[in-house]
Amino acid sequence: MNKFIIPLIVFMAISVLLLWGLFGPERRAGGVLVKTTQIDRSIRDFQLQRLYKNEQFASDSLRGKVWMLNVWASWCVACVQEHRVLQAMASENIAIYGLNYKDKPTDAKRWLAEHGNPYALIVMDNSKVSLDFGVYGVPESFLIDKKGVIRKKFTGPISWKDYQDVIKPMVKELEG
Amino acid sequence: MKYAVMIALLLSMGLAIAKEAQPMVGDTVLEQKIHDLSKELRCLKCQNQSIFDSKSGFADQIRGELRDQFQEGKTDQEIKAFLTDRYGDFIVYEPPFTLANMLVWEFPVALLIIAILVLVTAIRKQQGRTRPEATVSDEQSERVKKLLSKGES
Amino acid sequence: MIPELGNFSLILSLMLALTLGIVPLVGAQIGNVQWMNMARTTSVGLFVFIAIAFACLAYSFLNDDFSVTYIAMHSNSHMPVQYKFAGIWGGHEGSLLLWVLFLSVWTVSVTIFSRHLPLDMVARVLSVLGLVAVGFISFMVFTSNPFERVLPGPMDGQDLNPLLQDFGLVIHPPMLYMGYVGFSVAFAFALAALMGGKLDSTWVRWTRPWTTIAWMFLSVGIALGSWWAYYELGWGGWWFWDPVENASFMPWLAGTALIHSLAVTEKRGSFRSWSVLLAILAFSLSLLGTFLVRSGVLTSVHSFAADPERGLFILIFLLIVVGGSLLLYALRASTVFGGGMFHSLSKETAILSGNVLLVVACAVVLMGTLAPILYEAFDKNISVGPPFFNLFFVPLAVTAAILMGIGPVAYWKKADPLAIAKQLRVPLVAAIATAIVIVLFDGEAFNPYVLAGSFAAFWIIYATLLNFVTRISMLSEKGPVKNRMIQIPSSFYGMCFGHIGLAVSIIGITMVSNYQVERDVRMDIGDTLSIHDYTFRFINMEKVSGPNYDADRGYFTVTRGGDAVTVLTPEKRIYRAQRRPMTEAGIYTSIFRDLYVSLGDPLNKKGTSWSVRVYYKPFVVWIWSGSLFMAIAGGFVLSDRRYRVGRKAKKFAVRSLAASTTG
Repeated sequence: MNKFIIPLIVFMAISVLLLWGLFGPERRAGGVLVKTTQIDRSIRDFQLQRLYKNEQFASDSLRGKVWMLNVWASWCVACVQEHRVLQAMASENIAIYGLNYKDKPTDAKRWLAEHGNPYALIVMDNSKVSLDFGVYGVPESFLIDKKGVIRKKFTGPISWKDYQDVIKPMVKELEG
Repeated sequence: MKYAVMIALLLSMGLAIAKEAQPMVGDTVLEQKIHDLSKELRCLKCQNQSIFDSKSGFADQIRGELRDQFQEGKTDQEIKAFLTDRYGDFIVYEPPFTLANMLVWEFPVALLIIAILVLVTAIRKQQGRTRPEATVSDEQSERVKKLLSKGES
Repeated sequence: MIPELGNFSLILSLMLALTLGIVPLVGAQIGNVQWMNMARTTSVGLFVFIAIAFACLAYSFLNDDFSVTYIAMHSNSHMPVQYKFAGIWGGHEGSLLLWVLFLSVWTVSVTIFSRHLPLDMVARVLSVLGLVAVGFISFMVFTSNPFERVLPGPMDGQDLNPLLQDFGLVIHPPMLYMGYVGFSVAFAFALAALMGGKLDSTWVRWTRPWTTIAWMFLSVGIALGSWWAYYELGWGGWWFWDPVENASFMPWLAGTALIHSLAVTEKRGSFRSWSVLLAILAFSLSLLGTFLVRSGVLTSVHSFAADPERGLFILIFLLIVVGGSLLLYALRASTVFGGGMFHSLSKETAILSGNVLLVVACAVVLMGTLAPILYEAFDKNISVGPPFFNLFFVPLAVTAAILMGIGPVAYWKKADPLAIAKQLRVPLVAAIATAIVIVLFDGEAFNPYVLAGSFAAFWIIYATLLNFVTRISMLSEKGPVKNRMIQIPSSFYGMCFGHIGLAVSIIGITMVSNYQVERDVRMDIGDTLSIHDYTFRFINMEKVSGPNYDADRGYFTVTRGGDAVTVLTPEKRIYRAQRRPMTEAGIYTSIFRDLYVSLGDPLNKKGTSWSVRVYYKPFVVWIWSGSLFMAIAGGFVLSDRRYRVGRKAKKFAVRSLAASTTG
């Protein structure tokens, strides 16, 4: 036996890896979820133009609050999917701030008029801010604590399960 | 007459406007830098395409960022660090030289060394099996000759 | 009705495959001649029913039967007829049927050409092939049935992905699959040998031609894929180290090692267990490739629609087939060990070293491809792409090239270093000189890659040519050169063409990678652009329509020093069914350079200003031409006298019979 068994051992090791690869990682339509590097790191504070009011909004004004940043766009199909969940969240007093991504203000406003507005406030992305958050698609959402540290990221639409099982308890915990 | 003048004007306008094609950005050195670096970066939205190749909005955004940062004078390394800080190592096609990635980088070298060692050992071992050249005695070669000649007749 | 017939045929073929996989195999173990004889007839039956199933799918495609889900997803009534046919393998389910069709073709071929093989060997080989068929057909029947219906059917189909509506789809997958599937024959022979505990010259003589044919198809198939990507994707690239590309390259590397190892086993009887292992490896890598492409485990532009459950099925199949064969190998390989001894400096060592290099290269590609999965297990994401692979492949290729010069001139068993040095000193000097001239010729900064690549390629070419000339001159007593050429065995020419083919590809890769020019520019109608001594002029834009698309077509004249060279007409198309855009590049191909223009986006509403990519690609066709040389090489190897065993054996048998009766 000795040396002739080596190929079999190597193959078994590879098979274990492939088996894990099939069911282990979180998947998103079209491929594997890219792990974010932003968890437990402070956000990079920003100042952006608001959608509805002609003024700037600064993120550091949200220190001391637990809030969610939701990146969305009017052209994004999956955003419609999560919208009802967001509205439920908003009605239960979770503060959601919208970051409008690669969009036109008129289209954004029209979309909100049609689907409803769960946001406390909406700002328009300037390309730099979404980059700072590590955004590569929509929708994406970030749960941020009172100190301005990102505690959780959701890539893709937030589901009811995400809301009930993850967001609700986490928000409670972060509010203290 | 009016029409003739108009046509003449239009034609000459065409000649005047035709020029050497402008690069998409004014500076070819800058253009080349963006071109080269964008080939090393992955479009995260896509199914394995580089930022250079992809036409997605994300790729446009990253290319724009490259343009801005190169214009500020940042180096390739600095821009890669900037992007991996936000997007992780996945965005760069070359696995970075961290300790954890030594596995990936050292594997080929280690494998080659092991393979060469095994090869050399195996060749030496089977060489050791070589028996001394069998010597044929004169009597034996006579018998062989007789047998051979018998067969041919 | 026809789809139902096809489905029924598929199920019947599954039963036949099961029979084929079990009965003759058991028969060989217990010595039951009747059972062993069933192998041949069952194989033919398998082929017949698979062919019927395939024909049914083809018929449904060509008649726009959109009640079949697969056809509704991959076809459209306005699509040109050749793509309706090629669309059969444009998606996951149908391509599996193509795979199995080819498997049954190879199986039947083995049936036909194995008259002189011992019955138990034939039975075992066909059984193994039958078991492989069981795996793939049941995969189709249970998880990926191309004949599934959707009733009522839609009015029209979703159309085939525009990128696939191209000649490339008609030839690339069939060639590639013939290669992948072809290695199953060597695999089956290897297992048969292990089971029978016998690995003699018969085995090698029979395995070698099948492996060579499979290798030829795979070489051409990979080259076609690369060429197709080059002209179709619009960015002028020809290899991306994408997981699916790697999935095809790994069996090729193992297959190349195998054909060389078999050459040694045939000549000297050595490397037997190594040949067996390589045969198992080559096909296992084909199967692994199938897994990677269809399971969604890796991100790739090529992957079919991913489904972890389908992935699990294939993985289990892999475990059974590959795990089983490697277990058999672990248990029985020692029985086939043996063969002639050789000195540490010999042709055997050269070939063995080459094999080791190929296998190491294969392992590096495998590791690079699977590493991202490994890292995910530890919650990290990394990318392994071109920078990594290119770094390691350059030195590997150069080392392999050096061996390709030395190996052919080394003697079997024990080589004479002085004789080798004497024979190779002229090619060595000539190769260095040529490389230096090439590097200086371009007048650009010194490029070590060009030096290395040119040296490697010309070293192979000169050493091979000199080898040929030497052999010719050694046969001076045979008369004129033409006569002498015929005296040299075909397999020698095979070696020459194969090695020179690689050299040709190396030249292409070296030149294109280092001297290509890519310009991204904005062009208005009337603008010009110069690359080296070529001038591109954007003269016009017009709207055109095809059978299932509408396009903007640009006209670019290309001149060189005032002389007209060509007019390129790149297009930006929108395929109506899916509203998907696609670029169709305008390419002018010649031996020493390609001129390539690709449209980006319109920059004004009138469409008179566009972003355009213009490429100058020196020697790019050499990359794929190398594979043609390799195919010719395979042809030479196959035509070697040694393989006309059938006829010769008969002649010899008749003569000795006559001799014994008269003598």
